[in-house]
Amino acid sequence: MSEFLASVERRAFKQAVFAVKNDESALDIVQDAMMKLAEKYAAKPGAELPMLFQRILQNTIRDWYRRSKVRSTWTTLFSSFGGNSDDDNDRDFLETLEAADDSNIPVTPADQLEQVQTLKIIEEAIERLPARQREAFMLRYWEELDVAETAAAMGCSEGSVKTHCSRAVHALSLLLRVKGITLDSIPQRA
Amino acid sequence: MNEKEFSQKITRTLNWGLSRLEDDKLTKLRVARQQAMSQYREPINVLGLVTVSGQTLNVSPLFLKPLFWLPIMAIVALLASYSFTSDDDIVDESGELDARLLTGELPINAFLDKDFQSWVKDSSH
Repeated sequence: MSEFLASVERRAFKQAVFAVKNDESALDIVQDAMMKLAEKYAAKPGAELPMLFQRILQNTIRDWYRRSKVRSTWTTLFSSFGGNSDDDNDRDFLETLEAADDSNIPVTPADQLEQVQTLKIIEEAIERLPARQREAFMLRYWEELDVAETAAAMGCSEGSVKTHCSRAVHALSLLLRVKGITLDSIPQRA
Repeated sequence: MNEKEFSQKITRTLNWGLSRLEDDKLTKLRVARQQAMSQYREPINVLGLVTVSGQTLNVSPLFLKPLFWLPIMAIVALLASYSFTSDDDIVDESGELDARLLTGELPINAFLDKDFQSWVKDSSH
């Protein structure tokens, strides 16, 4: 169990960061998901753990969305200013991104710099994807779950998974093209 | 555009990015994992069929296979049918004994013997 958690914790953290756009909340989400898995599913065979963990992680992220929505509703109701009532979905998260701390990147060859810049642009593009598309893309291609496992983790049909994945790839490709990144310009040796 | 190839390039870059996670994040993740593992209880396996761990009970997939239940059902049916027929045999045997006693091969003198009749009466009480 410990080895499994160690093997997925970084990706889980990044997934949560992409979803909630806050490192501290993302850490809380990953910790909650790990606790639930260790406490309730210790008896499950190892082969089932990746899908179970992803299902728990995605549910924990959804719970966080619900709680933050309730919080923002009350904040809006009681705020004397009440000017920031935008729907979460309409926000341009790129504008709220914190500047990445590049101070500890050593002076390196040009390709490493290019790699860092490409990574930043890709991560921003993934954050901008609609939640379900991002979820499908991450589970299917980053976590390498098959379509059935992704559908089980997301609680939707296999057809929906394929649709979300396809739309995510097209949206990502468009977002990256706007930033001047094409399929061929992504470095091979990442 | 090849969806798979595109996705592979993206995820390869993301994986490379994981190695750039700051130390404080990695430390917090390790602490989170250790706290999660403090909730972990080693599962207890009962005869390889049921696994108990914490609040959950995990039944072996063997239970879901008809081939697992078939011999058990056959044994139960066999025992049930044996029990049924052996009860019949006991009834049959006692009935036969009664019939033999009633129609039995007692010599006619036995019925004429008063001592025998009084013994039958006494024993019937």
